[in-house]
Amino acid sequence: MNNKIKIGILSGLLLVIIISGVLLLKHKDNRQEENLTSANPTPITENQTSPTKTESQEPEKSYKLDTISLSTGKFYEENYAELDVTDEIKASISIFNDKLYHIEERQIRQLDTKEVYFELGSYYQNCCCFSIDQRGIVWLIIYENEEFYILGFEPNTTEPKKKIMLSEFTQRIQNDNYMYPLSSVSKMQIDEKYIYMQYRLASNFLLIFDHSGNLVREIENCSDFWIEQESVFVLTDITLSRLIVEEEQSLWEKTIFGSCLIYYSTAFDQIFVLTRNGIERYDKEGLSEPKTLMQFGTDTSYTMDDSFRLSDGRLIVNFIVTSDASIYIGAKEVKIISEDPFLVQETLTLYRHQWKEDEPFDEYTYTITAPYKDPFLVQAIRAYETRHPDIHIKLEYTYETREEYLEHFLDYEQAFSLRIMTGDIGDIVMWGGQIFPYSSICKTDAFLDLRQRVKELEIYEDLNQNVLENMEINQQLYALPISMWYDYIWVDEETAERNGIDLETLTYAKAIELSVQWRKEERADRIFDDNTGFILKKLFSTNLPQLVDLETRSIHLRQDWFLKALEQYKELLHARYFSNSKNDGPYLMGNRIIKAVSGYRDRSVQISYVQEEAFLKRFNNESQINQKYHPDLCGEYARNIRVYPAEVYLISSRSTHKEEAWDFLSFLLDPIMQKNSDLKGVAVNIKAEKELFDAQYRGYNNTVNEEGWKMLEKVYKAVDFSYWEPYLIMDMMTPISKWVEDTTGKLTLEDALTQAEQNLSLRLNE
Amino acid sequence: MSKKREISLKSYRRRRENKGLLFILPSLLGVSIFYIIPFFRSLGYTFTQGIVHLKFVYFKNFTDLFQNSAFQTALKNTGIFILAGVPILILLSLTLSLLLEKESRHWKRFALLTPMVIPGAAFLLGFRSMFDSYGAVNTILSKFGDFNTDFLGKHSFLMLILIYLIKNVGYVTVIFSGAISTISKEYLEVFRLESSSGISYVRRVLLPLIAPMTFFAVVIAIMDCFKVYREMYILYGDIPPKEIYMLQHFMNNNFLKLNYQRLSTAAFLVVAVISFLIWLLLRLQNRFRPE
Repeated sequence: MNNKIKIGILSGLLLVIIISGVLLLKHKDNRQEENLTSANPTPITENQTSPTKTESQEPEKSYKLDTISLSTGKFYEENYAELDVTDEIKASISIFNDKLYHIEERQIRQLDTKEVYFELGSYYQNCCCFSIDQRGIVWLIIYENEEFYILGFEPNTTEPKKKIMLSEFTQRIQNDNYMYPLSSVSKMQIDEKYIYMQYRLASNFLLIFDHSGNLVREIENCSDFWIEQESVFVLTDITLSRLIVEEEQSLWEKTIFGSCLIYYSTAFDQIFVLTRNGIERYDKEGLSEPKTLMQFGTDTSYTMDDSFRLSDGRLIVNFIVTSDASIYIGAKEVKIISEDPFLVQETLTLYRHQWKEDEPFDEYTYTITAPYKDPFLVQAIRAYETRHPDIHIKLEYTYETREEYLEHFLDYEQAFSLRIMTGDIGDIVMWGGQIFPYSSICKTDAFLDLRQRVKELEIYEDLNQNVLENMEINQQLYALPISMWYDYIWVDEETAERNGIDLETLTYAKAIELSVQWRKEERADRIFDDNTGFILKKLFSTNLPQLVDLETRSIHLRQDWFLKALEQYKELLHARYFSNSKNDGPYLMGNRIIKAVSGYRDRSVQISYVQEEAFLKRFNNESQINQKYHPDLCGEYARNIRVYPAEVYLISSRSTHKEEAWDFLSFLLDPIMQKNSDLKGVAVNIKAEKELFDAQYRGYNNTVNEEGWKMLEKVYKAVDFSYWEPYLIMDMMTPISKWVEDTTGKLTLEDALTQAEQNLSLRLNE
Repeated sequence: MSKKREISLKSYRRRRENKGLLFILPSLLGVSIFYIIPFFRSLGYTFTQGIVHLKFVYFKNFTDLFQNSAFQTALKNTGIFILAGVPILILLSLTLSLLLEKESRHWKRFALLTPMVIPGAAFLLGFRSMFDSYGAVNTILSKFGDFNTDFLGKHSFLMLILIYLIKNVGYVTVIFSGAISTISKEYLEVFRLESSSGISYVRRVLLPLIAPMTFFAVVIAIMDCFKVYREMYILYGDIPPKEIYMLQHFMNNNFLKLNYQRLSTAAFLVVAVISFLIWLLLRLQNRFRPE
C-alpha cells in the first residue's frame, strides 16, 4: 500500500470521525432539549402544542368577547343568570342527565327551560337539602318534629318510594346544640349503598350512612365531596383523595392547597376541582398531573380570594361541569335588607364558563423571553390568546421559579447580555424589575422607546404617570413597568404629633439629627427602633438621586447634611441608642415613632391590607403601642417617595412584530390584568388598583379601607424616582458601613468616603 | 544529477507541506470560525456605535476609551501589576528551580503545582481566613501589639501579587526545572575550570542556555496576570478597591452594561499590546540566544 492510499484512507477516516462527532453532538443536544429540567438554564418553551391536528379535537366553539348569554359564554361580569336563594335550600343545584336543576317556587325545575321536574309541595318548609341521583330519583332530607329523615321519590311520582330515618344524625344535632337544624346539611348524595352528607359545623364533616340510617364513616375537615359508582372523591383543606367506604385507606391521595369544591363528571370520567386560582382537572386514578382549565382573574373578570369570595365579595357555593365542556359556578351574595329586624336577601348568580382544549396551530406569532416562568405572565398570555384566537405566543423562560432565577440572576444577566448582542431575545423581554440593569439598558438602542406609545393609550389617564415618567432617561422609556413595589414603615402618629414632628416632610437625616438632640435631652420618646442597619440603608436608598446623578455621572457624597447624618448615626449606634423591640429593656424608654419595617406591599404574596392591619393591631396590643402604616420617609431634597418596578417589559428593536408586541404590553396595563392576583406589587393602573381595593375590602370597616387607600394614594402621587440601582447603594454602603461599625477608630470617615467615591466613579464611568 | 535530485527534494517537501496543511485544515477551520472571524467582527465593532442600528464613528471609540477614567485606572493598574508581578514570579521560580535542581525527589517539584489543582473558591477561603481583619495573621500579630492590618483593603495590591505568586510559582518553577535539567553537566565541568562562583555560572552559562524557555515563561506569566481576575472577583466582586481595578473588570463590567463597542475596543487594545510585548520578547530572545 503506497503513501497516497494511506493518506486517502486516513483523510477519509478523519472526515468520518468529524461528521459522526457533529451528528452525535446534534443528537445529544436534541435529547437534552427533550429532557429539560428546571436547573437547566437553557430556555424552556411554554405553550408548545403539536401543529398537527388530532382526531380527538373538540368541535369549534365561539370564544368571542362579545355580550354573552348564559348559554354561550365565559365567566364575565355581564354573563350570568340570577336566582333568589334567600331560603337555604334554594342555593342547592343538582345535576341529572347533564341538566341542571334548582328550586324555584316550591318546585324542582330544570334551569334553562324552567320545566318542572318535581313538586315539593308541603315538603318545602321542612326540606333542608335535595339531590337527584343517576336514576332520576329525587331525594329530600326532611327535618320534622325534631327528627331527620330522607325521602326518595321516583320520577313523575308524588308519593315517597323510600323513607330512611336518620336517628343517629338527629342525636348528633341535639348533642351539638345545633341552633338551625335546617341549615345543618349543605350537601347530600346517595348511591345504592350509602347516603353521603356534608354536615356543617365549625369544621365540615362528611358523614356516610347506610340505607338503614346507621353512620358507617365520618371524615373531618371535608370541604366538599362527590360520589361515583364505586367510590367517593373527598376534598379536605389540603388533600384530594379517592375513598372506598369500606376500606380504611384511601385509594390515592394528593396534596392540594386552596381548594374549595369538587365535581366528578361521568361524561368525562374525570375530577374537577375548584381552587383559589381556578379550575383544575384530575384523572380518576390520580396518576397524571392536573390540567388548569380556567383561572380566576385571567379567564374571568373576577379574582378570587383565600376565603373563596370573588373580588366583589360574593361567596362561591356551587360548581358543576356538564358534558359540553361547560363549568357552572354559583356565587352567592347576601344583602342586608334591614338591621332591625335583621333581614337579608340572598342571591345566587350562576355563571357558565366553557373551557377550550389546547388547539393545534401552525406557528407562533411572536415570542416573549422571560428569566423565569412568571405565573402572571403565563396567565396574561393565556388571557390574551383567549381574546385573540389567531395569535399564539411562545414563552421562553430559563428558570422555573422566581426564587431559582434570583439565585442565578448574575449568570442569567451575563448570558442574556450576549443574547441581546446577537438579537436572540424574541420580540418581548420580561425582566425582574428589582435587579433589572436599568441604566445600562436605557443607554442602548436594543429596545424600543415606548414613551409615545404609552401616552397614546386610552387608559393613559388611569396609569400612574409619576412612575412612568420617573422611569425615563433622556426622555425615553425603554422598560415598561406594569406594577411597582414601595417601602412602608410603621409610625406612631400620636407620639410624632406630641413631639411636633411632621411625618410628611421628615427625612432620615433629620430624624437622625432629632434623635441625637432627644438623647441629649434624655427624652423618653424615640424616633427610631433599629439596630440592624435599617436606617443607614434607608438614608442611602431614599436619597439616591441626591447622592448620585446618573445622567451627569456625578457623585455628591460630601454634602453637609449627609456627612452630619453619618457621624450622628455612628454616634447613636455606638451609644446603643437603638433597640429592636420594646421589650428590650433599658434601651427603650418611651414610644417609638418609627418602627423598622423593611417590607413592601405586594399583592402576589396574598397578604391583604386588612391582614396586615390585623397583624399590626396584634403587635400594637402586645407592645401596648399604637402604630399605623405610613409610606417611607422622603428624600432630603426631593420631598418625594421612591418606588421600584416589580417587573418590566421591553420590546426588542429587532422585532418584526412590534405592533403586536405593543398590543400585548398594553393588554398588561388593562384593568383585566392589572387586577390579577399574581401581579407582583401594586398596579401601575391606579383605577384598577382602586377597584380591586374597594372590592377586596367590601364589608370591612370603612376606616380601614379608607386609610389603606389613603396610604396607597400618597405613594402613587409622590413617586420621585422609580428605578432601583442596588449596585450603586452597595458601592457606597460597603465602605461606609465598615466605618460605622469600626470601634477601633482606625478607619476614618474620609477614608470610607474616598473608597465609596472610588467605587461609584468606577461604576459610573465604565 | 545533483540538480535533478535537488528539484525532486524540493517538490517532495512542497508535497509534504501541502499534505500537512490538509491535516491541520479542520483545526484551522475551527480556529477561524470561533476565534479569528469573531475577532475581526469585534474589530469592526470598534469603529461603530449602537447595538441594532450600527453607526460608523471612525476612531471615536478609541478616543473616548483613552479619555475614560475607569479605563485609565484599569490600564495603569494592569501595567503596574504586570511590571511588578512578572519579574517577581520569574525570579522566584528560577530561584526555586535552582534550589530544587539537586533534589532527586520529583514530588517536591510537583508539590508546587498543588495551588493549580485546588479549586479557586477553596483556595480563597483559606486565603481569606489568613488575611481577613480577624484572620490568622492578624490574630498572631495582635499578640505582639496593636498590629491589626487591613490586608484585604488597604494592602489589596500586595495581596493580589501574593495570590498571583501562589497560583503560578509552581507551574513556572516546573518549566524552569525542565529547562535546567536538559543542560549537560559538561557545561558546569568546563566552567569549573575557570571559576568556582555559582552566581557567575548561572549568569554566564545557565541563563543564556535557558533563554528560550525563560521567554516562554515570561509570556506565560504575562498571560497569567490576566487570569487572576477570577480570584479578584470572588474576593471583591465586580468593583474591587481602586488599586486593583484591572482591565478584566473594565471589560467584564462593560459587557454586562451592554457597552459592546467599548468592550471590543478595550479588548482589541489589550490584544495589540500583548502581541507587541510578545513580539518584543521574541526579538530579545533572538538577541540573547547563545552562540
